[in-house]
Amino acid sequence: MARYAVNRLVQELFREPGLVTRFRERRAEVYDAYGLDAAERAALDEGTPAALASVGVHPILQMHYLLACNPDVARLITVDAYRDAARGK
Amino acid sequence: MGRLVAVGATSHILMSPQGVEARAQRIVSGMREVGRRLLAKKPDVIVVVATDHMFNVNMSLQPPFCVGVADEYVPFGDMDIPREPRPGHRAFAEAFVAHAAARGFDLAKAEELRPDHGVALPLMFIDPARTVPIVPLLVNINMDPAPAPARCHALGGVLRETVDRHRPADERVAVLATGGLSHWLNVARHGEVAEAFDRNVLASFERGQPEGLTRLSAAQVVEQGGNGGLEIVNWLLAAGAAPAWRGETVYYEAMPEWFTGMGGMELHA
Repeated sequence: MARYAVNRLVQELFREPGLVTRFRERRAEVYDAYGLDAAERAALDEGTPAALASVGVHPILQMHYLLACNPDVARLITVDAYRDAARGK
Repeated sequence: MGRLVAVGATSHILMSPQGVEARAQRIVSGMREVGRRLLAKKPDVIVVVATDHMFNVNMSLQPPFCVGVADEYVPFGDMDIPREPRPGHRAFAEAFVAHAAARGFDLAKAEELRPDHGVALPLMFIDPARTVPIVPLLVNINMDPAPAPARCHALGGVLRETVDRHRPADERVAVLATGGLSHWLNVARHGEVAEAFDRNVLASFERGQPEGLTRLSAAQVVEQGGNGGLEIVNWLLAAGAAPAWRGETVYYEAMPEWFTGMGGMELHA
């Protein structure tokens, strides 16, 4: 059964200033602050969609997590290559 | 009375063009063409019917529908979208919310909204100069239960009534739906593209008869088009504002590399 706590942490990653950096550098501290249980901590540590789903992370919030923690995903999902095209160049 | 002058629709994602350069180029050209046609009608306001990807409307507060009433919008900045401000249209937004309340739709209002790619990405191509005021109308497909397709279509009718009955003479209104087409995101069938579903959706709008889609439940749309494919309710809402208008497909590309079907359309009176 999904708990709100793990979703709350993930949905605040991009909304709370500094949280992504804090999460990357002092992950255990963030886990404590959001009251995550052992299974949720293990799932976020593993970081795969399957692991995230196993503790009930919302599919869209799984994307947030991947964007925050997986540079390959962040490199794939960006408008950087289209800035000139948007301006008609 | 105001006047509905344009209705457009487009998918709202882009990913790396690496390995799919030609199709990515056609998609970008298609988005720009949707925008060219929309702006050619010289709208005074664009109502952007979109889905927020839980950057604003997340699990902490879950309104089925939310209308931005702010004077200005600065993008959230996901996908590295530039945080360049765009004007809002408070008067239109307030009139819509008020009329909707009288017609059985109690809509949430937002003074603070940082549009994510659902709103901001298509507008990069559709109004790159950021001159036309917008009214974001967010449909929350990420909550359970999600708004039903028929309910979204009906809200489009209320949007049209707002234009016809409550807006100044000669105000020119455009509606832009964003999202879709089929995609399954981080659920079973992740990454699939249902091209037959996408083609059927486009054909329904081309015939000016999307009613077959409105008869589906949200769960049935998800079954056929994926959890992300439910974004076609945004298209249904826009079409609800323009009954009997027929669609013309501007672009379509199945993009399994991007995990989604991509399409764009203009609706004609």
